[in-house]
Amino acid sequence: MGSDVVVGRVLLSARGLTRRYVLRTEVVTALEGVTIDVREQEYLAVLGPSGSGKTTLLQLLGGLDRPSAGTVHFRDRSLGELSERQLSRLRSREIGFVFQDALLMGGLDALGNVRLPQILARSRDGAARARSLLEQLGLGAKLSRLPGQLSRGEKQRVAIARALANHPACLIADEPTGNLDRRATHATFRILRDLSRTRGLTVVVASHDPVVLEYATRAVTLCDGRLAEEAAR
Amino acid sequence: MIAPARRAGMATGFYLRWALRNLGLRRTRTLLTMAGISVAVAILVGIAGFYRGYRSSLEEGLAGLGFHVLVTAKGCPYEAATLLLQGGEIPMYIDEQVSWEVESHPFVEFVAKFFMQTRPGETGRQHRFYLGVENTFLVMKPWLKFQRGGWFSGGDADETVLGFTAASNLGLDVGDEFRAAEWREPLRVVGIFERSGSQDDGTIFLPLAAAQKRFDKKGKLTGMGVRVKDLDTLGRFVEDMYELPSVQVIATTQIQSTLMRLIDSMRSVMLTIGVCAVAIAAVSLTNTVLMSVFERTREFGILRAMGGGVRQLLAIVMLETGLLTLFGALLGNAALLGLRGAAEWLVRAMLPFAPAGRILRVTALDQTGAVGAAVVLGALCSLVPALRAARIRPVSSLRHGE
Repeated sequence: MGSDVVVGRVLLSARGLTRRYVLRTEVVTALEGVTIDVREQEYLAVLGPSGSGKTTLLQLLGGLDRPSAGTVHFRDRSLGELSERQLSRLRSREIGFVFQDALLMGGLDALGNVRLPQILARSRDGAARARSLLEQLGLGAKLSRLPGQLSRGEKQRVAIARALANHPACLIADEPTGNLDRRATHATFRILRDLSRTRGLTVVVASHDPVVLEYATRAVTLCDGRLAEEAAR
Repeated sequence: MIAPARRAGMATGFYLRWALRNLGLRRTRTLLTMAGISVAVAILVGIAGFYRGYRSSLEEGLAGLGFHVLVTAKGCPYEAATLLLQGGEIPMYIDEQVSWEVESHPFVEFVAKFFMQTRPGETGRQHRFYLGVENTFLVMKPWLKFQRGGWFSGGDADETVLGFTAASNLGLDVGDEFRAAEWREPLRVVGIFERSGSQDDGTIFLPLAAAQKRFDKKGKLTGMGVRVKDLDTLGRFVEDMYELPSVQVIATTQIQSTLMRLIDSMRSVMLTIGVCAVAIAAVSLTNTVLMSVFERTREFGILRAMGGGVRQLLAIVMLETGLLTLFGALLGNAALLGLRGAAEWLVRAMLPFAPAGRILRVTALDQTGAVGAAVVLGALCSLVPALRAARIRPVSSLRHGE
């Protein structure tokens, strides 16, 4: 586990989260009665094997999907009561997402990818903030590189900068090191830890890689859609 | 902090650059779709330009004849008229004394008698168009100006006046002798007309009597152009002329309306082809944009995950499609302008009769209208794909199966 940090009020609160899908005629339960609180400045690792429900939990916490049962609160707002438009606004200003494959926009260079969420949110920040974020993540010399001209680790750092573009309170990362080598994996988790510490950012990372435990302040393990274990430093 | 107006400008610039790069990423598909749109636009603008050009050229050609009524020997009057307009031989003649009856009619201002013949040129590729005329010809066509020289010295003088193009093609100037295989005696060039943009440019003019003598048709006329004193009496004059047993009479207005009716029918066929081309381009465009949306499901999912609203996603897809159609339409217009000469040649080759002058007259209004219509069509075609993109759920951005 990472070193001690002072964590604050509850930022994300999930109660009895259940998500069921209908696949053809079969009902599949991806998540079953999960209750969890995530506090401000916390670095939470969600561990578990493939198919355990990590991604589903992150989708529900981030307001990307709606639960079949249970509730999610972001600060004092119930996500279930928000309209699609309000959810979009929440995602654009309060939550940043990092995905497994970075998923950068092929038609935009590194700077453009970081500017994109600012443009979508009609942010008052200009390109200077996007440039500054990339510089802080060691990509100052690669602002105009297209995704195809960046290494996987660099792409993931651009994705992190993109997630931070609109000053979110929470960063949700789904298997961000899934395609990275050992060195880049450590670097990515370290960046997330530093962001949590220096910016007071709440970080929720889903990973099957136990390396994340070296950096996270708390970890939960999912198994077959249920919380199996919780550990905190 | 950035001011709202500047922010909006920066966002527009950002979306435009992004849309252009996205089109560039799928270059082959973009180029093929643009080609489809440009063909449809070129066809539509071409049809509009052709219709306008043909009508104008015909009107100018008929006005260039300088008379209101054409009197020829019995036969098809429209064939005679079109031969007269484009230069050709009418192999039937009327006796010159008929002209006296016509000239004596009270409605007639004047009668211009003419005798037309066509002969192969030296190379055999081009034909020479001879026209025997009297002094009334110049009264009938006061706009014809001499570039050099002047009119014939007499009604049967062995002289010729050349149209601008005819002089240029023959390489003759005033004072030169014009020799033709069909005659022993040469004709002396006494005058050359300025360019008129009509069929007269390619004509070799002779005094009427000299022409009848050289082609061994003394006392024969190919026809007469009649100008009436008052256009309101035109109908009555034509009816009176029907009474003459050996001639047929046709007003230039009848020629124009008949030819335009033929062209209207042709335009309908061409418009059908144009509409088909537009429909094919529209279906192809919709398919291309839809395919692009399917391929970019995760990309649109990410945009939704990042807070991109429905309107923004609609705008992104519609902007890309709009640019695609805009470039396609501009390309189509440019191609049409670039290939105007070839298109005109093709149309002339296909048509049984095409008047002199430019028959493909494309205006800036046609082109602007076509570009606007293409962009509107593009917006309509992008509606279904854009709605599909806007409906993509943000979870599509994340991996599935967990």
